[in-house]
Amino acid sequence: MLNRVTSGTMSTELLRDVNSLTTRIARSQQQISSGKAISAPSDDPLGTQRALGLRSTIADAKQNQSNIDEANGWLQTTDDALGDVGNIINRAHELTVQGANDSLGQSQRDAIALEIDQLAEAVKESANANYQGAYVFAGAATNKPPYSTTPGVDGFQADASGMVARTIGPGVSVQINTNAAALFGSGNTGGAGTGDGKLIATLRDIAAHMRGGTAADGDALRNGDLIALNKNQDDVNQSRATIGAVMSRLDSAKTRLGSIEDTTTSLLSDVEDTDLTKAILDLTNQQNAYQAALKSGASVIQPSLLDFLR
Amino acid sequence: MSVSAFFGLQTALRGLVAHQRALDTTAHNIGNASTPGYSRETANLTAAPALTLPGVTSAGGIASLGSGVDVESFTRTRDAFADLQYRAQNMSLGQYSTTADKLSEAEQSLSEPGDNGIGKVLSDFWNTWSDLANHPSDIATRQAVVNQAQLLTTRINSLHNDLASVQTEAQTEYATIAGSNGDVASAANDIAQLNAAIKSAVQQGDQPNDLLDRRDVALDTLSKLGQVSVTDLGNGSIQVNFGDAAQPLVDDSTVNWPQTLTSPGGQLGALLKLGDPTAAGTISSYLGDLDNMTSQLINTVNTIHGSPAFFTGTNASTIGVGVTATTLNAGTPPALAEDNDIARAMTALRGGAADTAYANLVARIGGDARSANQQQTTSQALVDSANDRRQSASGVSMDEEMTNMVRFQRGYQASARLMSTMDEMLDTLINRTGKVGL
Repeated sequence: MLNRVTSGTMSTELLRDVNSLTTRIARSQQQISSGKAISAPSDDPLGTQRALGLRSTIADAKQNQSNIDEANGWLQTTDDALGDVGNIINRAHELTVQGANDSLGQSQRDAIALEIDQLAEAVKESANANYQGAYVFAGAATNKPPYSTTPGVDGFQADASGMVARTIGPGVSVQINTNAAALFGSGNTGGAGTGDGKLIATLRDIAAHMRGGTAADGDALRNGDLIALNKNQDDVNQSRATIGAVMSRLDSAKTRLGSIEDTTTSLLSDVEDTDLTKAILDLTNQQNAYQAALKSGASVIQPSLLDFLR
Repeated sequence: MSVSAFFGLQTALRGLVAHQRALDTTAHNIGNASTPGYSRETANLTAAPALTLPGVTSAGGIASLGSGVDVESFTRTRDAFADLQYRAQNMSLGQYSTTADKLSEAEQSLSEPGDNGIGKVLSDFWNTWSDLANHPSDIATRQAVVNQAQLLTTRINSLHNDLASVQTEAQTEYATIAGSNGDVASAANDIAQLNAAIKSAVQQGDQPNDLLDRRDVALDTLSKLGQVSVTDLGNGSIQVNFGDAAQPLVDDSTVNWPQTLTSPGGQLGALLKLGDPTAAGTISSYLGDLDNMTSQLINTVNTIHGSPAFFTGTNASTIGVGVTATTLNAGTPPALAEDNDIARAMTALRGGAADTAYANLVARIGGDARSANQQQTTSQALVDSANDRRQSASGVSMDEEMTNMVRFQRGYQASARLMSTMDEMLDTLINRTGKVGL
């Protein structure tokens, strides 16, 4: 407590208090207008550090969601192509059963053989399916079409073993590609029965057996070829089931990432954003104090003994 | 022994003169009411030596007849203890306000938290790797990785430069203030000159109040720059020790400056600490942390990327990008179009050593700036309160001066009235005595 208060003391104190009030008003005003409680790291060093981590988590969740969208597009393209192949196999099955019937004439079998060859070409076309410039069945060599578009050239010409993977979470990758070499094979360049038993070889065998017309060919059609075709269909179905499983895994991962993003965004807002109710209340209080200080200052500082002396 | 008839006139004259001096002092106080460092002055009135009258009492003893008033001295009112307190707090204020200013510059260069800081650029950098994993052979995506890497290295380079320039500024400021024409030298020269003037005034028996005030102002200025300790030499002159300088800064009228300081406190102490280029310096240690973060980034990324090196350089000032869109590895070479193992491994670096090191650096600068701000606020409050205490003793109060003015004016009027009464008395004696019957 000061025992002697001069007019100078009063005016410096008033000025100091009014200054500190205007500083606080400016701070509240800035928090309200910018919407940010932290405008520099020194406002809240720990909060800033936390905000950096939270922002990184949000960016990661967003990026992984867009990775999942990419992967889904890829898988959808693969699945559509495999759906087409499934239809082709069904048609081949019908034709084979029809052609295996001994009552058919050779000319009719030749016609069926022609259609089967076309189906083999259609399988190659489906296997050349493309997602955003990438051949989805080509293994890792997605810049090369898996099959030649030249009719009758059946050799798989891309990457037979490569894996294509996408990141869907911190350190989590999933394989999204289906390899045409394993599913459709490379045909039977050495004639009927010399192939790898995959879909294209089976189709070429069927066509050869149709054209052959001998009793042995008929037996081959009825037994070996149909069994092989069924096996090929199982393989395609199994691939589609795998794709379905991966897609549903991606869906659930995306939902989870979405909820991580939401939670983290609201955490970030808690750390970084202005609590408007509190800030406005603070501002109102500070303004009241400011006005009171100015008013009392104006009435205290002005008069002195000088005003009352004659 | 009889008393002269004119003795009363002399007594009244002393009253007039003394009250006039007192009024003059009041005028001096009012005039300097707003002068920084001014201490109010008082005219010390005392009864003049009495006239001794021997043998006037009935017992033949001595009596003293008062002879009026004298102005004995003019003194300034100063609380030396409040001065000491003020200077100690002023030194802390100088130290913390300088630190707070410089650290606020340092934290501005971070632009955190927000979308313009390195944190965001780093996060975007990891994102571009993730995009690359989705399209490993797409040339636009590959270019985006290189561009983002260039942005990142540029931002790290410029943060390094910003912090380094805060350090250089601190060194330059120190050199300016402590230089041979700086603030320390000019305050020291003032004090030395005032010492000489005060000493000669004191030798003549004078009390040079206004010179003392000016010397105190110079000491106040000096106390903000560094630790000041004052020794009174007893002849009005003082010796001033500054910071941890080996020689006294001012000894009587001699100035020893420039001198080497290692830990002077105050503004100079803060600037020395901030600008210290060794690892112990504040900004130096931030630069060290930034280098550490950068080398974490370079090592982790280059290890995964293989040849050619993705980042060139070794620290924050030298880091650059060593690949182009075509030489960038998305997958382990020889890579097929969709090989993306390297890109995927890069995305796993998000939130790793580099991110953590950066977040720690931001938190460290922020924490230091925050504590400097708080200490500045505290020492400002302490300086204010010490100053209030000083003003309480030395400040000019208008009410007080007005009261004194009325008092001294009345005293003057009464003395004048006394003089005219004496005059009338002498008139009676000189002009009317001996005229009986005329």
